Amino acid sequence: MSDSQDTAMIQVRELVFDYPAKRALHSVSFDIQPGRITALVGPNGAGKSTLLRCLAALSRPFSGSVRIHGFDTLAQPRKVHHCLGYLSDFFGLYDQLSVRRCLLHACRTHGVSDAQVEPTAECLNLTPYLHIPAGDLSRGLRQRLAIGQSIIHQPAVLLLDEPASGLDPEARASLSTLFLELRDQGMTLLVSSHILAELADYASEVLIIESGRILDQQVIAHADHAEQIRIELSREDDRLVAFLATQEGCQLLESTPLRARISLSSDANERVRLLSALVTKGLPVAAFVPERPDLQQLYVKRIQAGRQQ
Amino acid sequence: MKSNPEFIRNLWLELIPYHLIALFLVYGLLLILHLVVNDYAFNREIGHAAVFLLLIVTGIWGTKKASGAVYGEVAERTWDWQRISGLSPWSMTWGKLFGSTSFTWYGGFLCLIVAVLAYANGDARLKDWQLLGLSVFGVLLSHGLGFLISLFYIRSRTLENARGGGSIYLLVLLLFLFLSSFAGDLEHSKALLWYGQSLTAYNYLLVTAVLLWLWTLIGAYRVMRRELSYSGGPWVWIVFLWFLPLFFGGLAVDKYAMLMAGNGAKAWWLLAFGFWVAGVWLALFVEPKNPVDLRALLVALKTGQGRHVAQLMPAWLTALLLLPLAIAALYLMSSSQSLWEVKMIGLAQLATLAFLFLLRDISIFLLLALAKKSRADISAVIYLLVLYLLIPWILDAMGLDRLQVFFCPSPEQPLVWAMGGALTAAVIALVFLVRRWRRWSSAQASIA
Repeated sequence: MSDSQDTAMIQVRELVFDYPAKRALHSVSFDIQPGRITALVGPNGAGKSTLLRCLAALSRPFSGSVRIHGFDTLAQPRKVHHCLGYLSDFFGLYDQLSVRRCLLHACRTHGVSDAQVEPTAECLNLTPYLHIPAGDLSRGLRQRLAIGQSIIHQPAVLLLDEPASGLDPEARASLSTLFLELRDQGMTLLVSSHILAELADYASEVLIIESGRILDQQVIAHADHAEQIRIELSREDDRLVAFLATQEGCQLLESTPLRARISLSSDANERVRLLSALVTKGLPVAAFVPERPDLQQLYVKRIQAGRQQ
Repeated sequence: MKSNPEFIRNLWLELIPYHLIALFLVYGLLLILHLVVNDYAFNREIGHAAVFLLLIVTGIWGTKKASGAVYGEVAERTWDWQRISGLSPWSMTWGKLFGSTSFTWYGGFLCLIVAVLAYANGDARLKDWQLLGLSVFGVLLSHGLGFLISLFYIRSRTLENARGGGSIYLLVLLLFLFLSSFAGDLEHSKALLWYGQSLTAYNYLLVTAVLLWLWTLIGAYRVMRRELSYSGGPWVWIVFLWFLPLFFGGLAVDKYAMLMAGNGAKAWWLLAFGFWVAGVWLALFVEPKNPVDLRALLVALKTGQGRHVAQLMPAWLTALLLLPLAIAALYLMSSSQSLWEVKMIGLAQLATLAFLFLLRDISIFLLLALAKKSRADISAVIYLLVLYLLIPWILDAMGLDRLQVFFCPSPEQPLVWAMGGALTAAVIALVFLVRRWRRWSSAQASIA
């Protein structure tokens, strides 16, 4: 077993899940490393929710294995529950209880000190609403409260099924920021979603699933290590490709004499150094633009390729 | 109690000060009304009214609350979150059961205080105190049963079933009313013989209520364990299946010994057979009959994974496997004939007929479950009513009663003919089941 498998926070092997009339997951295998935000994308009915329920030890697979933080979901389901938070696509709240009591209840059911209520509310910007019944909250705030209940015990892994559905753009943006903050606190997140544009804001890798099969697992951007940069010249220059190939830490993704796309450390000093070097070399740089990965394009390409296969 | 967050959460929702004051005032007004009607005499009549109120409000309303404690969570989509919380199955069980009924118990305690004071103040008889005790445990049993049945229902994970709490409530309510009327007619001093020991009917009923209540708690705890992803074998279910004839058989041994030609053990085994058949039926109705689970069981059997087999064994199959034991015991005791057996076929043969028809009935249930029919259980019941009642009735009317052996146990027919009919029915149903199973398995293999 490789080191990456040993250190994987989520390890899935040959997972098979059957419904009476349908095989929902076909020998699914993948690893997710700690501290990543992984986007789980796929069409409706692809098996995303079933996969997340198997990972959360809520549904028992027909065969295969899942290990979360080193614990087997079949042999040690309660230990798995202890180290994960899970938010289903259609979640509910105790509408009659105030936000404070909802969080208090979550603290106590997870054996966490009541003092955890305030910092969690603070982290989720719920402090002004602590006295309000959950039933009176807006959709975005309800989503935050549900996430708050799921993370109050500081789980190592957070599984979210379509967390952004039904949210307005502002709430979505704030959710993206929250996910990045949670990742920075050390959590590993697996987020299923249809809204690919938002996923690009925070996801560091993408897991594409269709008809119960994993089509692709691709690192789309190491938000904390590297990013993609588009370089365009004002005229064709054959030296561009050769020059970029020799640059340390620079990985060529696409290149022509006129333009190139590279992966480079997100360190600003690295970008300054590379840009200076290009200019010093006399290359006519017309554009030097950090780019977000086009998840939509990647997704459509892989889904179509998968269907052709 | 403070350490159980689920209990505390229910108290937050149930014990709202405004509601507590309102109920107190309503009960106070009812007491005043009754006092006025009763010529201001604070006596056993007031006590009776308080017990009646306890049965109505705490019993009936409380059962509705207990039944809704879990299916309400499924309907409101909070159950998955609860399932991955850190609470133990036992904390979840008692926290929900007693928490959800806490408001009705608040009313119940008010009634109990009035009843005790009224009985202590006047001319209460022993029977009044006994019925008070029985009422309390009857209410507890009713709550426990409603809670347990709702837990079974939610295992099928459909909102339709979650909303079906009303029917659970109705079922428990009917049982509760039946037991209440039985207790009301109780002649408390009447002596019963239990395995030769003399005890009063009141004591027997009280012990029955307490033991059954404890069993509902144990049952709810076991189902809750499965809900919280713990695995376990069918051991507690097996102990319960043995408990039923051991406890209730104590009465049958003496009461029916005469009918059984003095053979109390024969009566006991017949009762055990009846309880285990009831266990098969109960499990068939309340357990999900998911073919994927059955396939996993077969795989575990083929690969010799004993622990897995125990975990996946459906409760109806566990109860079914006990039946040959009872039949064998009845055959061993067939030397002494009962009054029934003098006129009809032997009890052992009758039990065999019932067993064969039970195999047919199980096959029909599983066939419909495999066919993915909506409301498969209701369809199965309708088919069985047709097979057990309608067709035999038509055959009888046509003078073809000899053919009834293919549809229901017919002890009045010659033994070989009756057995042949039952065996044919069972084999045909099993053949259909196997064919359907193979078709389902090949369909599964093709989509895999």
